[in-house]
Amino acid sequence: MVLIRKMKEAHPSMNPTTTSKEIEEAAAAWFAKREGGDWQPADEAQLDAWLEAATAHRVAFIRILTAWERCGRLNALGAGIAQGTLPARDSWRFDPVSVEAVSVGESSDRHTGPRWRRSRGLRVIAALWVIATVAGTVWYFSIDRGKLYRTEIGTVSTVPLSDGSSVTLNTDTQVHVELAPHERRVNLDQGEVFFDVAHDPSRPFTVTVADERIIAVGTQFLVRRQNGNIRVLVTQGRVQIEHVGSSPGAAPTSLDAGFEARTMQGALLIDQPAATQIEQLMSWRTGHLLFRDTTLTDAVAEFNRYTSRKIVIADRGIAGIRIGGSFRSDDIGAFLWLVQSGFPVKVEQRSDRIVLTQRYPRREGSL
Amino acid sequence: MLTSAYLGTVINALDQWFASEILPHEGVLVRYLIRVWPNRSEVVDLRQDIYVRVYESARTALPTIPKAFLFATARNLMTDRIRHSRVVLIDSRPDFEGLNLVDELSPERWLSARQELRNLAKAFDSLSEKCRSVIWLRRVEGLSQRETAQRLGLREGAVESQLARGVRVLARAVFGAPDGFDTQDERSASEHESHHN
Repeated sequence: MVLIRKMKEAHPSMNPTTTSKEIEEAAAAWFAKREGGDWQPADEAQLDAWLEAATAHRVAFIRILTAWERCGRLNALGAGIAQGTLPARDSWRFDPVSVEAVSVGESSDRHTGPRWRRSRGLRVIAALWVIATVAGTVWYFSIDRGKLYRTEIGTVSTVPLSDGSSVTLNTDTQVHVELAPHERRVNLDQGEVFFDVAHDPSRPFTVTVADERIIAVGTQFLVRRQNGNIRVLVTQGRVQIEHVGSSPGAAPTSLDAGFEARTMQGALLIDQPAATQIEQLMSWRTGHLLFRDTTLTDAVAEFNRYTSRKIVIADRGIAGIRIGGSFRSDDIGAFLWLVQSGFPVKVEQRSDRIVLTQRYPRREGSL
Repeated sequence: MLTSAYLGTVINALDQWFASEILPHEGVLVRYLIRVWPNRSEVVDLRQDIYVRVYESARTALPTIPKAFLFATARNLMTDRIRHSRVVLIDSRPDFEGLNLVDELSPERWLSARQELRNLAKAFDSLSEKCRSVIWLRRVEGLSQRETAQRLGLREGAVESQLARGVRVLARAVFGAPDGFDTQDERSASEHESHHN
């Protein structure tokens, strides 16, 4: 009875209220008091003052008034019910004229219509899925270097090979695969591939990237070729890396699971990345890009691999902004939205590219 | 649209605009917030802050597309909150599923008449016996507060308090809040109340 006692003593609330719940309660109390029949000009002035005190008060009050206004729909439920009778709960027979007939227990119409629509929706989704699968699959030709598999920009695709291995091609990637009786040969022409190699000691699995050869027997590893540099990350088992054309006696470099090798101007740098870095390097396989304390420059470069309409950073001032997050690689919009709303960056969409510039503070409220 | 009966000195043209252009999207907005905001208990708070921002911006200039403006405001506000809370990792996935949902929704602003009535009936039935009687007599039979008090054998203050409580519950139904959203506190308050009367 706290509320009633309070209202007898004073007005619903003249105190600055804090939580949205308290404000809603106060707005409803003001509404009820105003409806009460004993409403004086002084009350109106007090209500005005309360409404003026905070916009939150005002919107809460408008909301309650609007709700009550729309509660007039209850009259539709009252049709056919004798004056002065309070209808029992769950006894509603929806008026067949003003609304569609709904018998007690909400029977037939509710099920037939939506269910049909739902199943049709599923069929549409299924059809789209089939089309997407067909269109999204890598296309290949059989030529003398083996089968050519290729993905378009923005596509990630996994191809099962006849030996039980599989190759997952990241965006804008091209490989040739040749499965010979005593050897399995892959040439990575461009892009990035994750190899899941079926164990077969009699048929070594060799990936050639420019001047490097990665030899596996049965293992999982990632190979990326970008700007003349090569990156190999082993996630399971072990691979051997040898330089094409090196002297016959030169020992190949062994790379164990959890290690990464990068070529840099002919040298091979071996590194053991942190688990989070590995996760980051592998995230594209599920269609995601993972950033942790990544500069805008690097993040943009990563996204640009997945789009033909490239993002360009036009201001040096914003290049060093550090961002973190998980994004769908096909959802550049989400990335741009975050960058735009979280940082002083302006996104300008042009027909051929997306330009990021520094944004200077504007007035609050203008969008 | 608010009728002339409510056009007292307190309701101005901007309030009217807000009631007819923004509030009809509340159901969609709340569903969206529930989907994308990690803490469900903060959704009502968030909704209020969004409304405040929209209303205050509209004072300067009315947005051309109110619904788009409402959701843009929601996104900005969430971004601000995230920044202030120093959350580092932002997972954009659920967020953007939510946005797609918003774009796919039918242009209908209010719930369909039938759905609204069904929600309303359900919410009405969820009220305590006393509250339900008060709402029925006041809204459907059009009795005054005094008449309602006499009919039900209650004090006028009790009628007023039940009306205040009832309208809040019905508001959620009218605006299409998902089932069970923001109702726990009402139920317990209602039970608490009945012990005292």
